[in-house]
Amino acid sequence: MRSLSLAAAFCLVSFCAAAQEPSSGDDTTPIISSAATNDPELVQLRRAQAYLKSRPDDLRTTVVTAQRFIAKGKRENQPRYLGMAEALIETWLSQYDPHPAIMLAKADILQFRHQFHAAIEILKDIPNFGAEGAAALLMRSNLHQLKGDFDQAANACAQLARELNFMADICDLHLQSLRSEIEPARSKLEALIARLELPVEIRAWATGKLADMSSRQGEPLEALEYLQELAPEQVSTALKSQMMDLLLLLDRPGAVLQMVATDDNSEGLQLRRLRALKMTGENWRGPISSLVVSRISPQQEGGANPHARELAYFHHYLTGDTEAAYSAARENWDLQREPIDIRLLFETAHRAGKLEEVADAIDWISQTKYQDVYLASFLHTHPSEGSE
Amino acid sequence: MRLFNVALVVGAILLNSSLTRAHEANDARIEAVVSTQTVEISWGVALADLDLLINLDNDLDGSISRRDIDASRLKIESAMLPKLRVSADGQTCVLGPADLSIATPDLLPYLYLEFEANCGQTVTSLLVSYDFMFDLDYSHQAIIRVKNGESVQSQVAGQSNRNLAFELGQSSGLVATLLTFFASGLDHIVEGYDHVAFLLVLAFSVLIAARRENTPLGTRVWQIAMMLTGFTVAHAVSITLAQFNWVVVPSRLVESFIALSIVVAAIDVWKPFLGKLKWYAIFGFGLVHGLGFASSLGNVGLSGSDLFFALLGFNVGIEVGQIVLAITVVGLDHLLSYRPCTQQYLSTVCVSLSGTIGLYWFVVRALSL
Repeated sequence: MRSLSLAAAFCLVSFCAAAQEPSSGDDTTPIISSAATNDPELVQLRRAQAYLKSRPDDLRTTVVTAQRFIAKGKRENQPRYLGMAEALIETWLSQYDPHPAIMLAKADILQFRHQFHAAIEILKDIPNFGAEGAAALLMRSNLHQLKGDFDQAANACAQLARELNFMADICDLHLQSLRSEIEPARSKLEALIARLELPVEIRAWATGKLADMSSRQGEPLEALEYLQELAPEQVSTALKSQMMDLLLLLDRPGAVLQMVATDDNSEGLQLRRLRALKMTGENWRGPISSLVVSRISPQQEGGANPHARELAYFHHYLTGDTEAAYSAARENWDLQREPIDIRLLFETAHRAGKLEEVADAIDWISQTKYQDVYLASFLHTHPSEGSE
Repeated sequence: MRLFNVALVVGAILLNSSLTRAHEANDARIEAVVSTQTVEISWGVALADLDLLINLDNDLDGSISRRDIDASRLKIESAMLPKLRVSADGQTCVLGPADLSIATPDLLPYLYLEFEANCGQTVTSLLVSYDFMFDLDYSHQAIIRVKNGESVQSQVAGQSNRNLAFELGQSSGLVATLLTFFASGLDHIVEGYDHVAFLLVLAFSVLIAARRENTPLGTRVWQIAMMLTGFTVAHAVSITLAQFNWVVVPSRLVESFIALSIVVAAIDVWKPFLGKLKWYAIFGFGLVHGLGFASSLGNVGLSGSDLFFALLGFNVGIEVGQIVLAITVVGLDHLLSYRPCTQQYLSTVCVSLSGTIGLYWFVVRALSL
């Protein structure tokens, strides 16, 4: 009987506890910060959006608002803001002869999404004069270079000389450095940066090019010093990634960990942070690595993955899945051919035992006379059938 | 001055990062589970997106809380629900009332609307028309996964791809329904650790008592079979009642009682107190476990003979799972009968462990820890 009473008491406790459902309506615990309330820039931009709903014919406000959304999206690594810019300009873009500023904004958005070919097609239609013309030429040059088409990149650079001589020089020197004349190009660029009073963004961009040249000359410490001379506000996500790569190359993962917060929205930076964690022997697997993987994995089976570079990086440096790393690096090779992409392709092919499959990349290096001391040394140490 | 302007535009372009770009971190997620004539839909949208669309910060304190969300419920539903249309074989499905919840998959807070779309006919093809957020954000996407039995298809809806068609194949028929739900019943036993723990304690209670009284193997098997049958009849009754919504009990209460049933059964093994009440207790616990099965099965969205075969398949699946488990326990016990110490040790460990875990589950579930 006593036991029965005990069981009944258990049941009563269970019932009472279960009946006490918390009233969710009273829960004021913050789930997230409200950007719509807290971010003054966003509040302004949302007002401009609302205004443009009633005045869709206001081109100037459309362009300024779209440009500000694009800049915000890039700064905060938030694609949704670029999507908002795109929604604003779409009506203007469908007109017979869209304004160059609208076309430039669209090309900028497409470039951000790795739709390089579509971006180049739009840029070709922008007249080669004025501020938008110069920006379009520079973007075209960057995109061609990214795709490994150095001749087209040089052509766009040359046209840029009509509007902005010094920009054309920086652009041209970097291309020269990629194609066999790395040392003279580096000296000239260093002198040019020291000589000219460049606007801060352009100085930062040129310094990034200079650091890239030093890195490809096998001088990562010098490259790092160039970048460290920049003021923190001038260091974009791209330059930060570049710095982190140099620090990792110099075996300084601790410095990398100090450079990126756990809530940074950039997958590229988070991947480098995870690699630094792994190098220091700490646990890199966890919610952040899961989040990064979910973002860089292909969304649809068989579909192109614009994040193939990040996926290759992830498998190569973190999971050690050699097949997956090579497969992603190979996919990325068809999309972009920046120094990091080229190194990733060869390193992953070597680890997967597939160096003979990258003969086409070796042909490309021979044809373009691509310069990278690290890569030259790698190919010398690991000669493959393709390179012999 | 002109050079300055040109440099300004060019400088803005240079802010672009070519090395790292963020993914579409704000993809919406839609899960649609097809059940003959209905589709269970779970639609998740990043809270940050929803906040941009309809400012959720109701009290303007700079953050979004559950209270803000509850206060904005109507606004949320009217912003979201008209933007999703589901049609089955050309017929628009009627969306039922939505439940609202918050979850944080991949560290990002998402708001989920869960509702049923009633299509009024057997669904063999599905057209999902998604038109949410595109007025504001062209980069917005929704990853839509449609589950039909074992098959899963997924597609991505975007600004330029708003209507997605899913071919689900022919109607599966009664036998297929029976087999599908039979497999589901088996799954529920395999994955229902609390049910397994309860059944283990029941089986060992018979075996331990039989050893005390030196009962032959045949009698032990018969007793276990009778107990399982009583348990099955009870859960078949409660699953059916729950399926028709004739009995609705909060899941927290049901889950707590299921955990408690393990504890009570374990105590009864060591300090028998139920006596002749044991058979009633097993039937009662069977009813409660049935409500647990029903809760994880959800609304199958069937009617008539489809529903009959689904429930039959489901209960038979559970029963088969139980029988396999009981045979394993009896077989193992019998094999160990030549080593009485090990046999006793196995029973003691299994019952004690199940009872302890049951107590832990009870505390966690009852107090929502």
